[in-house]
This record gives sequence, structure tokens and C-alpha cells, in this order.
Amino acid sequence: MPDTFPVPEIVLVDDEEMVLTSVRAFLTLETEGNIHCFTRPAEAIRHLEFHPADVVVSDYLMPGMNGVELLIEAKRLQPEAARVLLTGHADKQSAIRAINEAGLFHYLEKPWDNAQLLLILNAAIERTQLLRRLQTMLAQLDDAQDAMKHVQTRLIKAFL
Amino acid sequence: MENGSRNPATPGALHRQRDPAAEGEDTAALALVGHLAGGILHEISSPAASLSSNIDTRQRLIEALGATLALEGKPNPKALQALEVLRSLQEVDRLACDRITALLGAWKSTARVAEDPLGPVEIEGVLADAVRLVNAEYRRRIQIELHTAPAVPVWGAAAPLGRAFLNLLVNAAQAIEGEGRIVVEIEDCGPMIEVRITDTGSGMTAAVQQQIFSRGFTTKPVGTGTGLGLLLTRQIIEDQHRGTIRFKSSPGQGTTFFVSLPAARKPHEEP
Repeated sequence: MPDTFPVPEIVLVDDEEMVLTSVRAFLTLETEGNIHCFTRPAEAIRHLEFHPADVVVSDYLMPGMNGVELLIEAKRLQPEAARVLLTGHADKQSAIRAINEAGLFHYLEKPWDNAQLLLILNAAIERTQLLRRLQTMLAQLDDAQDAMKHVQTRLIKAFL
Repeated sequence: MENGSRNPATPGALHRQRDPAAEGEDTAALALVGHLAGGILHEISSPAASLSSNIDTRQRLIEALGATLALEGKPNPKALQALEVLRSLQEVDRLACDRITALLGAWKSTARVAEDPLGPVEIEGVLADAVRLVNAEYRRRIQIELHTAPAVPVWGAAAPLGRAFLNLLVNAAQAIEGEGRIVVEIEDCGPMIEVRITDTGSGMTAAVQQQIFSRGFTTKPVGTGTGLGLLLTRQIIEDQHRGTIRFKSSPGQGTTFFVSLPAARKPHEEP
């Protein structure tokens, strides 16, 4: 059982390169995480198919696929990874859909406040990593229980 | 009283009834401008958000640099000087960006076309946004005072209310020639919340007063007025919000508009 959590993996998706650069610059300064940036939703999905992420932050309006559709796909691929919508397009309908269907961790509007973004991402990462640790521990508990049963059976057999 | 006539040679251009074809053209032009404005708003939002974030990140870097320099026994004076210049530029950038962001926010909340259901709306915020937008155009010659006491929310939809007040404020500003003042007040009148917008403009003659809510009526120069603003404002206030809009005006003394909107009071707050 490791005592420290792994380096956070952060996925950022926005069709504006500019926004990605800004968020990446800030997060590089303030977090220890690896930051993966994508301007195309399809590329982000390909990344998520093979690489575990702790948090996925997506813009809403993007060509090809909107942020809610992307986050729904991210949820299917990695349900435990937290999902954040960062949007300049404040529309109640899309917000409701994002919260209900993509199981959103947080809905954040542009312009974002860096300090608030950091708080949200740290909370999201902590949640994902605790969830993953819990899954590992439950699996270990299952294994241990199986082993116990095995010992018990052998003990019973030995006495019979 | 000439009723603010700027061009006495062509009195026909004032107080005119617009012909329906021109009105249709204006409406189409307005729709196009509105559509473009929506696109521009979205296009400016992202770069503005980026700038705002970068200014914050740069501030953190400047502070870190300052702390590192302070650790050195004899910091390089050129480096200290550069840091000072960076700090002052940073301050200006922060102010500039905050101004852009506030204006975009006001524009966004006022221009929303999505049909939101009616609900409690903080009227002070709506008025502050409308004042912000009008200030962008008129603050050099017109001083707008917004007197807000902590008011009970009204029952309504923020975006159309914002447009209604924006209309009244723009009218007030346009009624003022040269320098002047607009005062916006909110009063809690029990079941209704009253907003009063008073200008020090030219006021209206009795003849104008009778027609201001008529479709196509305008006193503004050709190309400025559509003759629809007050009509739409009344529709928003009276039809959509079950409120009332009244005014008091005398030529040469200015105009006050009184807008009453239903208060969104919780049962236990009933006065």
C-alpha cells in the first residue's frame, strides 16, 4: 500500500489554444500535476482511452463535439475521474444537462478565478485519488477475505 | 420649449411617425447587429478570460521573484527596478482587464436571449449592469447616480428587465444635451418594488407625452431611433412582469420614469 498519492493527471480541453496556455501556465506554477492539453475533443477522448486521469476540464462550445458530450464520454471511459465544465457560454439548459448526464463535479464560468480553479481542481483530484485508493483497498479486502476463507476451510478439514 | 430640437430647419425629422417599411428595415438591421454582437461577445470572452488568468499568474510570479531577490544580500538594482516597473504595469493591466470583464458580464447578462422562467431577481444587480453599459457610452458627459438600498428581489427575468432599464437609461441619456445627471432610485413599496429613473434632460411636451408608447414614434434624429424602444419596454414591464410603467415630464425640467415590479417576498417577509 503506497503512502503517497501518485502525481495528479490533469486533462484540459478547449478549442482556444490561448485558454489552454493560460490554464497550463497557472497550473504548472501551482500544482505538481502532469497537464495534458487538447484543442480537439476527439484527441482528448483517445488520450482518455489509454491514460488514467484524475480530472478532466472541458470548454463547452467546441467544433465537432460540445463539452457535455465529451464529459459524458469521459465518464463512460473513466467513471472515477472528476469532470469540470469551464464555459463562457452560460446557458442554463446545458448546465443542467452537464450536471445530470455527465455527473459534473463542478460547473465553472469564464472568466474563471485562478484561486477558485485551483481549489476546485485540488478537491477534484483528492476525490478521484481517494476513490481509486478505496477501490484498491476493497479489492485487497476481498482477497484477504478469500484467503481467510481458504485458511478456515483448511482448519476445519484438519480438525474433522 | 423646443423639446431639444437640434435641427430646427427640419422639424419634420422630429416627432415623426415612422413608415412601416422603414420600421421593417430597422428591425432587420437590429437583428443583424444583435446577431453579430452575440458572436463578438463570445469571441472577446475567451481572450479576456485568458488575459485575466495570465495577469493573476504573472502577479504570482512577480511576488515569487520579489521574494527571491529579497533573499539576496545585495540584489541587483537593475533587477529591483525592473520588478518595480513590472508591478506598476501589472496594476494597470489588472484594472484594464477588470473593466473589460465587468462590461462583458453586464453585456452578457443583458443580451441573453434564452427564455428564462420568471423567478426572484436582484434588481440592484440588473440596474448596475444597465448603468455600466450606458456609462460605456455616456460617462464623459453624463453622471449616473445609482441609489440602492438593500431591496427585496423582484419576481421576473433578469435579461429582459435589464433591456427595459437599458432602454430607459439610454432614452434619458439622449434627452440630455451636453452635461447632465441621471438618478436611479429603488424603493420598497410593499407588494411592489419601484424603480425611478430621473434625468435632467429636455423633458417632453404634452404632444410628445401622448405618443411615446406608440409603435414607430420617435423624437430622435433619423437613423438613431426605431420608435420601438419604449413599446418593447412597456411590453416587458407590463405584459411579461405584470408591473406598471408611468412617467412625469415637463419641458425643460427633465423626465422621471416610474417602474413598479412585483416583489418576490417570502411569506414570512410579508410586510
